[in-house]
Amino acid sequence: MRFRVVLLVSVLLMSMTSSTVFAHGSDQGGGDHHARVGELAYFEGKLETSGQERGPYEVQFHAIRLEDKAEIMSMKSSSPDGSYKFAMQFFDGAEHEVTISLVDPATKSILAEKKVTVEVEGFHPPFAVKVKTMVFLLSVIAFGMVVGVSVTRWGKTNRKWKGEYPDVA
Amino acid sequence: MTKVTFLGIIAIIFALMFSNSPVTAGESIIANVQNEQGGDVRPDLDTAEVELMFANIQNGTAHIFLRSPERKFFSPTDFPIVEGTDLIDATLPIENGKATFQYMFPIRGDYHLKVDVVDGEGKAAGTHELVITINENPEEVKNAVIFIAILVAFGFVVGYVLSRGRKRVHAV
Repeated sequence: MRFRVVLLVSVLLMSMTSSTVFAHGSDQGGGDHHARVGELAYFEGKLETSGQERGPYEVQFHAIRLEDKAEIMSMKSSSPDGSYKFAMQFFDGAEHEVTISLVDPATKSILAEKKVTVEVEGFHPPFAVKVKTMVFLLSVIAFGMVVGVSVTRWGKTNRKWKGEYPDVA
Repeated sequence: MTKVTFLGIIAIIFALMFSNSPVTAGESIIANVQNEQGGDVRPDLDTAEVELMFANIQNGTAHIFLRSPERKFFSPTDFPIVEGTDLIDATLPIENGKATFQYMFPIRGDYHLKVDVVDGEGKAAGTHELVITINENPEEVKNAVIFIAILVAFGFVVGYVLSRGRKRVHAV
């Protein structure tokens, strides 16, 4: 009976630890753009300048994760007329902000800028991964149990050789 | 094993060796990955500066496709959904033989970077494949070892206590 209780507690403990894998999932809403973890999100458009500047321009892309302001990606491209196209995957199911800036390559001044809030849909890990993790962690506990039982048996055998256990005999 | 079978196995091994050497194929491009804060790049923590150096091209464009490490049966990462998927599809300018971007790599493993190069005159200058290796965060490795040690200790105590308990029952 005691063994079953301990086994039940072990399984419960494993279930709780496996849930740490979900830690990055969140369902924050309200973004301008929707993306899914595991898939590329495409950004395409054209930035217009208000002045008389003419191309080619430099287009800068900057993506940050809003929950901790972590810089996820930053890169630049060149464009003859202000049009842009790039794709990236958001690997964390949290809200991100992508800033696209049109920059004068000579003066490095920002001619136009667009900010896009991206709502990223997170997913739970695949069932196979959860099962594998559970099996691995249970195997580790089972290994410890085998060692514990072996130590007890070894001690018992030793004591028998030394003539202890008068009540058992 | 017959001679034909043996030669066939050798031929397959050689074919696999040459097909899995993208760094050799991309000798004219060198990828340099550095942590902006110094030290090794840690996944989902550090923003790395990736610098692509082109030996034969001074100006032009590089269309890059970055793919995450493939899924491995025995070592799932923090983001299993991300494993073996496309991460970046973008075009970078090559200036003075270099193209750079900053990126936070999500997981540990070997990333495959495919680079389509176009020179300054708009002519295709070849496709290259590079492998970028990101190691696991040492802190996470340490925490995993501690966690597994705690589980082994927990199992040990449970096994020890249960087997001692059984002994007493038999004794009575």
